Amino acid sequence: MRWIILFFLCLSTLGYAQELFIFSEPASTMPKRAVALRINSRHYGTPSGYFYKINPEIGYGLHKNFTARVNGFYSNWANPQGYWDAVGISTKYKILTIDEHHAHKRLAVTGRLVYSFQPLPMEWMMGEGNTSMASGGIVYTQLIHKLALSGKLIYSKLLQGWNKNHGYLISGEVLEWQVSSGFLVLPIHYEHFKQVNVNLYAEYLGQQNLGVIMDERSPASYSINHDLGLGTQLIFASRLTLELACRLNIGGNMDRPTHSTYYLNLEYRIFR
Amino acid sequence: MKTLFIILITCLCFQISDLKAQQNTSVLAMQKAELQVNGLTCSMCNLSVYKSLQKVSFIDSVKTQLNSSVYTLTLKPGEYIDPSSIKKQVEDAGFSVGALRLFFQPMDVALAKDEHLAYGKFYFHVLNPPTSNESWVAEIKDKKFVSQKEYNRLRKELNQHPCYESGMTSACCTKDAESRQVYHLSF
Repeated sequence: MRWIILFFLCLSTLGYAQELFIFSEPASTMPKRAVALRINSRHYGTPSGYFYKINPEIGYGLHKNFTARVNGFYSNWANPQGYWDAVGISTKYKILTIDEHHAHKRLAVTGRLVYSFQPLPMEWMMGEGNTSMASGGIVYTQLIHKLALSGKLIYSKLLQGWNKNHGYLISGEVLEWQVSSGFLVLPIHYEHFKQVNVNLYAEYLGQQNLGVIMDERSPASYSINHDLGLGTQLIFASRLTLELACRLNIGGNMDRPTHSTYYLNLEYRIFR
Repeated sequence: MKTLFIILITCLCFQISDLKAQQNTSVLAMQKAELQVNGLTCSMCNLSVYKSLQKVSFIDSVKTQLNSSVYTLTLKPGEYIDPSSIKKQVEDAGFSVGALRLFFQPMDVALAKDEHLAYGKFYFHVLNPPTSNESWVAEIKDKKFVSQKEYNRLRKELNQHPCYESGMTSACCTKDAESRQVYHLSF
């Protein structure tokens, strides 16, 4: 844990900050009437083989303080041929904005609903369409000098979709916390919108099972999970975003099928 | 010949009425405005503000200095700037106005403190008059055009002027019966 804090502190000395986080999200909302077309892909190497999850998403700025996103999830977790396994909607409402020159503080509340067609619940709540779930959270983002810091607290509850015959631990309720940091590597000086932006991100993602047992044969568990997300983000023409990242398990005792996940994401922003 | 004479007289009448209309409204002429936007930290954020400002009907062109988050706005000929529309577009993009500087064409008159100038549908209330007659650059000092701290300070300082808090002309401003929006300028 100490070296994670040290890593975040080191980032603060390196350059200008950006907050378009890969694993978490900032408290900022999308511009009004802007559209984001996004496709996330996650790749998992497990003892049972290679799995993927493809997650197309459309985001829309309904109001200057309110963003809504709809998601679909396509994977090969339960069928090697691939199948649509879930749909979801997420919302964010910004409740506080304090802007200063090249700096800001923002606070937002978030909500999320996912409906899974083929639930595969587990102790580690991935939040990636493998279970039907409802989430609510609060996120605070601040630029402190040259460091963009964001903290998020999320409560998630499993909704239906569990099967008592699973025979393994399933989290019914989970508390997640995320601390994210990012900085801009290139360009050194902004000159025009066509410059390629390169950002590096380091995010810490924690999760605690709140002890709710979804399988009566399982013992009550208060297991915990610590992940570190590292990623790079390229932004072309201030519109097209390409992200390459990995999420690594760095501690905890939660039962999970994989200890590393690799991300390749693409987003195109339309300003209207 | 008679018809030609009538047409000429009619045209002349229209020209005179147009000239009168211009004289009545064009008290101040503005060349450009500079907008400082707060909260911007990335080029994607800058682009969202840039695109939002381009949609404003009275703006002819928008130029931006990305490093300083300053946008230079030029107005369409014959159009008046509407500071509220600019503020709304910046806020819709997710950010805030840090400062709005207006570049006026200097006039051959000396402006006095608390003088009111008609401009389009609004009034400008001069808090601090220009010190030179060569450059007339003024900042709007109303709520959401300055920091909250600056606004609170000015609200106390200008407690004799209810128009500052309400944003509408009041007894302190003008004898006009019609209440109009008023912006407070510091040159």
